[in-house]
Amino acid sequence: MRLILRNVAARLGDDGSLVVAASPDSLARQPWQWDVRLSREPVGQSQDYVGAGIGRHHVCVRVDDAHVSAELLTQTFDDPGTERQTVTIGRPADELWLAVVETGTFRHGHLEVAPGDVLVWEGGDPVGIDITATSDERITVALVILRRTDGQSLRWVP
Amino acid sequence: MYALNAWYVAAWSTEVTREPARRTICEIPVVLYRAVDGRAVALEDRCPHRGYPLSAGRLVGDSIECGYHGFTFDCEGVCVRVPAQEIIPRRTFVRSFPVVEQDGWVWIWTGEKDLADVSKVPDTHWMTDPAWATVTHSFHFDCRAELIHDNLLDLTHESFIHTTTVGDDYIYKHGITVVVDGDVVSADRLMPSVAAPPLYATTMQLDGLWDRFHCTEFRAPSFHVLHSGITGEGRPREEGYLIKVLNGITPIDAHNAHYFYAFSRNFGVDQQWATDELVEGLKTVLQEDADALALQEIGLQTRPPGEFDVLIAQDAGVAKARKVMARLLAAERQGTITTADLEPSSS
Ligand code: FES
Ligand SMILES: [Fe+2]
Repeated sequence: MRLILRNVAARLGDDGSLVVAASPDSLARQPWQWDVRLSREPVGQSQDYVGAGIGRHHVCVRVDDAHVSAELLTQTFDDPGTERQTVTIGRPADELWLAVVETGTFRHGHLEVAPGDVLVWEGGDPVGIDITATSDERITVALVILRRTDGQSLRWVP
Repeated sequence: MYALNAWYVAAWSTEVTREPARRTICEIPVVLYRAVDGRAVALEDRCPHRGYPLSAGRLVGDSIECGYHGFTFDCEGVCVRVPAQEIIPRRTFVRSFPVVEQDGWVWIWTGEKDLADVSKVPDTHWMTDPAWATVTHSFHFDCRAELIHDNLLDLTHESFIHTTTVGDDYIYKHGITVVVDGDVVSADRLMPSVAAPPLYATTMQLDGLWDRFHCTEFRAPSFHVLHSGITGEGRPREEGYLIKVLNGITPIDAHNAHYFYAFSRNFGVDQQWATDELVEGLKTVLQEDADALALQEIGLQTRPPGEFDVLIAQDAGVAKARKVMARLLAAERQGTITTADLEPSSS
């Protein structure tokens, strides 16, 4: 399953922070696993989460560390303007990836993606993430990689 | 509780005539008729005198005369005549609803009049575009409208409920892409290199392998456009045999809904036999959904409090749509989203 949340970053208030994705996502009928928050400024106690300022945002990831681990990195795709080729990134099917698009626009499958959009990939379809730049601006995303600590597949819970 | 600040399909254009017609929309009784100049009118269908339905009365010019004691109301719902006296009491009016008629659909705005924004009426142009041929159906569904929204946003049910028409096991084996953009939630599935479903294969006279796709675009709270079709393997969707299924879902009350359905296709447009076949085939599909959701409604009504849906990743579209609906409902009561907004209740 793949989830695209349009223009999430625009919903941040001046001093606001926003949970852009979480699991469970709507109701706590199953144990809480993780959430990803986006903010203008760092929030909360840094020992409680994995966080970093990436582009215009602070991305902060909280996990139930008995079951889930998180990695946060900046992913950049060089020279989209000259190449404009489709790059396919392999994602292990048991990992859940989340990207906050900071700069650049690209096509992903049949969808156009722009800065401020948040994307989530989970499960076995799709595992390959294909990206084709659609502007000259370099593509930068804050990439969150979530895994289950027991090696099983991490699925998104609505 | 309904999201009332919204456009709902009230009727097909052909159903609105010089004979008053009654519809219940979000528990509001509505009478629909045409003024002399052809304009569609929607008024609350309850006479303020003593509650008789105006739809049981008759039209007098642009006005409607109550069939009980003859109070008469104009297109704005203003009382213009009280037969038994000259003075019209001040409280004698009925509510009128903003109406938009477009492409054969009659929409009404059930909320605050000042908020009625005509630009928010969904695009349905395929209905009248000569490059497309359309089949329509109207159904009463014995279930709450939310179950129809869920049904359309999770088409894996085709593999189980529509086995003879549009279903196949390959559907649930392919993942979905869910996009949330304001009040619009879409769930898209691409099924590369598969056989065309039986219902379409006949109409399209096709065999071999195709890329099949369907994308449900839910324009909360009342309308879905299902962009579906098949195209050559690896080819762009626009090149393919395309179908736009338009679904106007209008709540009647907590356990019933109107379902206005239109199926527009860009192939075999002039082939009457294909249209005839689709009329029958699609009726079967809709009846399968109607039967299933009536059973689900009973299941929910008899579900003990404290038991809840178990949603899985594949339900992302359903879950995100429920969140959007919950936000609309909370906005109308100017409050925050509650747990009750987010899942079906047992009552
Ligand atoms: S109830 Fe309508 S005129 Fe009396
Ligand atoms: Fe169905």
